[in-house]
Amino acid sequence: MIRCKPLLGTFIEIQIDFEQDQIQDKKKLNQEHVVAAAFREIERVDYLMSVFEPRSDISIINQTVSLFSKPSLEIHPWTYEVLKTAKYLHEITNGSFDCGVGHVLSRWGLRPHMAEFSNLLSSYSIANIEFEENHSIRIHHPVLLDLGGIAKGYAVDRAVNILKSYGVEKAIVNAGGDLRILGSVPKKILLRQLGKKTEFIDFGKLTNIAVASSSSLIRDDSAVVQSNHLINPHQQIPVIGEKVFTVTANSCMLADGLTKALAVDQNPSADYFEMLDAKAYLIHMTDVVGKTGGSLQRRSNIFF
Amino acid sequence: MRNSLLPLTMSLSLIGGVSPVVIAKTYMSAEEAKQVMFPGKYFSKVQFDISAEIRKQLKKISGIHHPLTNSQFWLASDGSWFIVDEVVGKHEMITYGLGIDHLGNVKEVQILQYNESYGHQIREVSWRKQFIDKNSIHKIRLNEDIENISGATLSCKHVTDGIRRLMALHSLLLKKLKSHDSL
Repeated sequence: MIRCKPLLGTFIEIQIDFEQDQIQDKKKLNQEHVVAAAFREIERVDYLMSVFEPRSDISIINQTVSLFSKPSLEIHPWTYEVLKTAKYLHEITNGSFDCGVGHVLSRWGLRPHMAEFSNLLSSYSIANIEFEENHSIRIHHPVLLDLGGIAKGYAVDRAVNILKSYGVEKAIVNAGGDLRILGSVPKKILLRQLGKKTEFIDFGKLTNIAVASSSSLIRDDSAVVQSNHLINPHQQIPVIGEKVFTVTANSCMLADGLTKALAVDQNPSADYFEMLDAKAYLIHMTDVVGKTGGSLQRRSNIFF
Repeated sequence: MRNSLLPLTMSLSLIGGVSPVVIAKTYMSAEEAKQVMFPGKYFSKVQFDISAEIRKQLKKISGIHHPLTNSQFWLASDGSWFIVDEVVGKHEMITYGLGIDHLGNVKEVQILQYNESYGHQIREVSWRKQFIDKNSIHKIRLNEDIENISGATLSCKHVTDGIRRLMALHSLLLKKLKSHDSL
């Protein structure tokens, strides 16, 4: 069965494929309950990590400003986990992934207003966060975080874990294009490329893998337009163009986060993909009317 | 609309192994959505007129211009509502169900149907062959096989606007309506 809800600003699709007697729990659970539990998990991630929610962990971290006391905050274990991964990605990508770009998104009108501290003259990077025990973080310098580049992938992973805990062996969770496949599901993956013409690339059938994509092209009502939501944190300018940045990995959080590093570095052979057992695909939209095909740069590894 | 028919015909006749893309997915029926949101609750279908003044306000609040003519409304005796509504974009049409509890809060939203269509084809690229299941049929057929799409995130803004319109309608009109059962 397959269900779809509007969450995290996009359409979340959860499909499970199992027989009733496969459910481990002996309580009378039906598939509807299992899928609802997975959706609730995604709602919780949204609540904890959205910058649109003034009482979310992230909003509270962003509002914590003190130059001298270096405040320590206890946060939800999930937010802690995502921030820790975000900082790790920041380190191994040499700063090409940085969720400390909230102020840039805010300045361009893509996020709620964030008070900037112009007198501080330095970045609001996640590098300013130190991880302590008991899910606490110490803020060495004010940060303006936005987890838009990674939280969706994390939400997908959480939903998949919940499904697993109910004994589901085959499932797909797709958060508006960032998806994870559990087990072997007999359906194909298509990669949607927005452009003057919208095209689909057939990725075929995959097993136990996460696929995430980012592009600066978005569909706004009827037109496909360039958007500023992908940011180069080194120069604080938007990444624009007609490319689709796709990454496959074992977790959707990593795949999601790495698409941002790929968009910035535009190097599918970068070391960090191999370090994380991920594969990167940089697909260029050579969209000339009437012509099919395009150029593709890709690592030389065999995929499987 | 200008380019929708011609390239579609050409792609079918000139290029083998490609098809126009129509994504039509049905997630659940209105009846199923009602049961999921309000298990066991009895609803009666309600029809009513919406005054020109309220229509004007709804347009202003939601930014949606197309009328509510296809929407269907059900009311329970405790004042809960279940509504089926659709939102339409250039390439997509989405039908969704909205549950509003007796206090007037959103209880749940479920997408019932999602349709997306383009007069274009699945792109052929040489590297994709490594992914193709040897036993699968090469081309993707209409309405079949397409379950999972990666790519740039599609916004659910239209649905969000639709929900905002229905919640405004609730506060302007629906909450004043009573079920026959409660009288």
